Amino acid sequence: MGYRVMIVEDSPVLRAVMRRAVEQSGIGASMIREAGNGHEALAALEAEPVDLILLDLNMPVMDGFEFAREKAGRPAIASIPVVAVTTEGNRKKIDGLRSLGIEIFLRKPFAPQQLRDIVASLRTDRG
Amino acid sequence: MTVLTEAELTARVANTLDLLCLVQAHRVAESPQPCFEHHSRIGFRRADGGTGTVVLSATSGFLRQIATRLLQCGPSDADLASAGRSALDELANITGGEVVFLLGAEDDLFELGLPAAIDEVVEVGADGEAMRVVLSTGQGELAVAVSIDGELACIAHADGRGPRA
Repeated sequence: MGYRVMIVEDSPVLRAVMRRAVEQSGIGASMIREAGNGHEALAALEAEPVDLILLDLNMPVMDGFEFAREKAGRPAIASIPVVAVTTEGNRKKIDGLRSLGIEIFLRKPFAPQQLRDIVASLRTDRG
Repeated sequence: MTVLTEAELTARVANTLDLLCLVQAHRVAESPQPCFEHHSRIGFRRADGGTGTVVLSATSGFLRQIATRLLQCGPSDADLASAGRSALDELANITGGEVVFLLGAEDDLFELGLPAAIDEVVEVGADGEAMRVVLSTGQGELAVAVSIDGELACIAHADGRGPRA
């Protein structure tokens, strides 16, 4: 089975940017799925997990913080690595996400190359 | 330590456009007859008190340009109008995050709202302090207006003279 990625981001334009970054990262993603908020993402992940999640934090319906808490409590998907792509710069909030297992943060604005490099390094690390 | 000044705001927005859209922008004087047709607003609130807003106003030329760059599509693409709107909202989101960061959000708890399109811009700074900068990309212009209330004005001065206490 190939490498599967989910993009959780409410902005359609940024989803397109992130999708392109994943496609150009050289990881050979076999599937890139998209969700517009955390609620959509959880439903999709329960149906079929992925290998990597790119997560926006500031979203309507269910934001990235709530998504992270929900995900951490669901054994089937709790171990999926997450890259938080966010405008958030507050130390306390970032520390809160670390306690939920999110270790990688990419602060907006980012260059697509930065996201490509992160995705590619994760693929290399985890095989 | 960075502070919220017009120069810093201009630099942050120009950096966003450069990084994300590969578009070069520089500050220009406000046109006497601006034709900003598209607006997006985002609000923020500090946990210990104080609120503010960021409003982005763009010309159609600017929106077309960033949508074309972000989606890597042709200028006649049917989705360009909606993509431009979405791009402006995302720019408002990122700019809101940058403003909050400049106001000290690394240590202070701020809640950033969600960006939303608005039809027209009311006068900024009615009950606090405000700053407004206009950037040009050559193909269009983007105006960025930041308004903060009196409590936040204590930690960031719009004239750039006084940093946080």
